[in-house]
Amino acid sequence: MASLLEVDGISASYGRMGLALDRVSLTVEAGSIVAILGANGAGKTTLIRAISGLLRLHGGAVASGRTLLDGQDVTRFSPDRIVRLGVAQAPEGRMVFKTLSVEDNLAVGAASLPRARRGERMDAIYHLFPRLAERRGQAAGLMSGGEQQMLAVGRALAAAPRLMLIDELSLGLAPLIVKAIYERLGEVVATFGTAILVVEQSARIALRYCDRAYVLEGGRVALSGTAGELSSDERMRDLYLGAAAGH
Amino acid sequence: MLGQVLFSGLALGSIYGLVALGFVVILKATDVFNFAQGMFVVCGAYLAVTALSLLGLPFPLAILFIILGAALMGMGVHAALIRPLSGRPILSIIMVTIALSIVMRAGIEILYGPAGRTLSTPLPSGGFLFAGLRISQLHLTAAAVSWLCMLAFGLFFRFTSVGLLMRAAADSHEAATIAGVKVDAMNRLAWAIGFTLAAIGGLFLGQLQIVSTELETIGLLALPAVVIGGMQSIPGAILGGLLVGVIEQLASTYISPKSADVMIYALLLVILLVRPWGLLGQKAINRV
Repeated sequence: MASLLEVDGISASYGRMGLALDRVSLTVEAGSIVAILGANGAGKTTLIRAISGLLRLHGGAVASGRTLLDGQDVTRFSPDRIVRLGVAQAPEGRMVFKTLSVEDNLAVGAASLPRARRGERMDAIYHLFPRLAERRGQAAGLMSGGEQQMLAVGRALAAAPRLMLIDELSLGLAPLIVKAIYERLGEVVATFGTAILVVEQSARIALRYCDRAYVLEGGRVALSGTAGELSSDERMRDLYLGAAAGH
Repeated sequence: MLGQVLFSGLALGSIYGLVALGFVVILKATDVFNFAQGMFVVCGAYLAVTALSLLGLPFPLAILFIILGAALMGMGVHAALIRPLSGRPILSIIMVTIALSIVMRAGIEILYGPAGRTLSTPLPSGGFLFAGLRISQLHLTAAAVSWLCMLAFGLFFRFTSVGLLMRAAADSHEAATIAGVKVDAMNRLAWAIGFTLAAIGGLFLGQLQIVSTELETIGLLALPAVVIGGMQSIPGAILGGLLVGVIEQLASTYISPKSADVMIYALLLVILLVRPWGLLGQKAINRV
């Protein structure tokens, strides 16, 4: 049976600036949490954009390779079509609709669902993040960073995705909030069966909450494996866990 | 006397508000400061001439013709000029809208000749006395229809799911794309709506005056209306339109017809100096 997401040797670039991704392959199975690790400029965000069809918006393009969703080639699909096929995203910088209310933000996410399913889906998200329910009438731009991250995740979940992409989940957030959001993500996987592909700066967080991780370096996959394998990998410990432990 | 002046000011102001609303819809959706909005008004008047005088369509069909024609033209402008230029500097796009208005004027004068035409419709054109005022039925109808259109748009924008997606796309193109919104389709729709609202204004202005490309000047009163009301604000556009209409009528009655423009742009200058975000606009809040 085909995996939920299979990235098969993707290379991508922005204009003539050289390859931002160099033959990257990865697999996400249904119902699993997979982390992408790597330093700034390693190609993590580019990989997310390549999967979600957003490269073109940023002046980039997939040069070769394929993205398969349940075996279907979606490499050159438009972003809205990819969302409709069940891949939603909480982007870097959160990008909530600042002038819209929390409720309207979620409703935009749910708009790709059939009308009859929208209300039930929004209720499920309010149940998951009671903080959003308390603030449902508030303009999203006036919320704290942590709340905006919850909203960005909630908006992506509102589309009832089979796969959720999260770019830089913990960036700029207090450790307690990061912990709370990851615990919710665990619930999401358990209740909805959603798979999650998350870009994470902190290797320690990633290995604690994720099933598998891929480490990108200079646009290539340098290391990959289950959380257990990577935790005991010497290179991983020297390069990523050591540095993370020292902060 | 004053009551009479206020009545016509508010009636005309309602039409300006409608045209200004169309301008703001385009501005909010695509960040384009559309100098062709005045010519969109002229187009509406000529669509009416075409439907009623040249094709001899019955009035309800003529209305349909005007609305569909305007909506298609709005989509055409978006597809041919605005979308290909998206992401370019604001100034390039503004220049394109100015060029568009000049080309449209020339095109209309080539097609229809430079002379003005009168537009007659079955709309009631008489008048009656009410509380000592002579109420022109055409002014009253124009104001009522303008308010109906503004109300309909407000309800659509605020309460329907397509309206919600338009608001999301206007908030951030990138965020909306990520959330699965067909941003292109929303922008196209905004241009269709913006053009159509201007065209409805043109239908009435053409009838209250004479249909000619000179109507552009009146249509362009939407610009000061929008700046006075607040650039990104929908209620602001309507309030700005009403103010412009009232000031125009007061100045032409009590000072001189030519002074109207001076007074309108004097107010515009004052607003830009003391409250640059307009009466009902907001200071740019937490835009990152």
